[in-house]
Amino acid sequence: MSNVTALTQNALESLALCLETMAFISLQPAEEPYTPPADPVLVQIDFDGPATGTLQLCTASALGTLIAQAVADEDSAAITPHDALKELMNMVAGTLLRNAGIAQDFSIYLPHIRSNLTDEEWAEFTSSPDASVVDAEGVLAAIRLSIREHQR
Amino acid sequence: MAKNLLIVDDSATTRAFIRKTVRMAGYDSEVVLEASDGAAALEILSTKSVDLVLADLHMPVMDGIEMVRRMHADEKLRNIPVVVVSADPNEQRIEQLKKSGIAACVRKPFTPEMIRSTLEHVWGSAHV
Repeated sequence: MSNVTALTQNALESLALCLETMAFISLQPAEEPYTPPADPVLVQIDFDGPATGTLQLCTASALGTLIAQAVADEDSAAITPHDALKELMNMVAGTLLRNAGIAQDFSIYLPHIRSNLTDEEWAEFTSSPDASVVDAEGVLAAIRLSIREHQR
Repeated sequence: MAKNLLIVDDSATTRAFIRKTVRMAGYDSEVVLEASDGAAALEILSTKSVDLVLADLHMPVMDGIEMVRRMHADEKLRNIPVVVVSADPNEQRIEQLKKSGIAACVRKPFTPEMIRSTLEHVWGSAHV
């Protein structure tokens, strides 16, 4: 499938678009070392179609708090950071597939989140050659797309 | 006259954002009801008068597609306009829903202007 490369390159662009549109949060390149946050989480969303893919975001719960404060004004305390992050990934996955021009063939699943990542898991993810690490207004975020084309 | 708006989305984040966006669009006198899935939405629709439903597609318990199908099958609910607000990338699914009679579709992530123009299309301009 010729658009696999396009999908990989678009993951970071889709994350940037969704954060800016939804929460007016802009992304900057992150500087090493990528120190683990106090509250690291891994958000994952799977999709399926001509290829099977997994989009993952490794970040701090604090990013979810930033999103909640941006979208909800005075009632942001009613929004959990984890809900905000799962919804972010939902939007990123949809945007990614639409912008790659192959959305009509894919279905995306509900996102999942796992907290309490170890420092080793954080280091493994952020040092992965497939991961893009950015600074979201003081919060580190690393995004990675894994995709496997189905054999014809 | 104030209208009743029902927001259906399993994400509290999105429900809050739509709520805020509706206020920012000038529809601040409207009553906003919320549900976290299609089944809860149908419960609300069975007891309250609703003028517009803004619904996500992919939700646990009952998804938006089934909710819309049941609304269209109910003569008391079928004329309530439904606007789908979704990140679903599948264009065919959206086109099928449009053919089945939904009022509009707004893609996530959405801007306040996208919600405002959709509400104006469905309800007409707000009198602020």
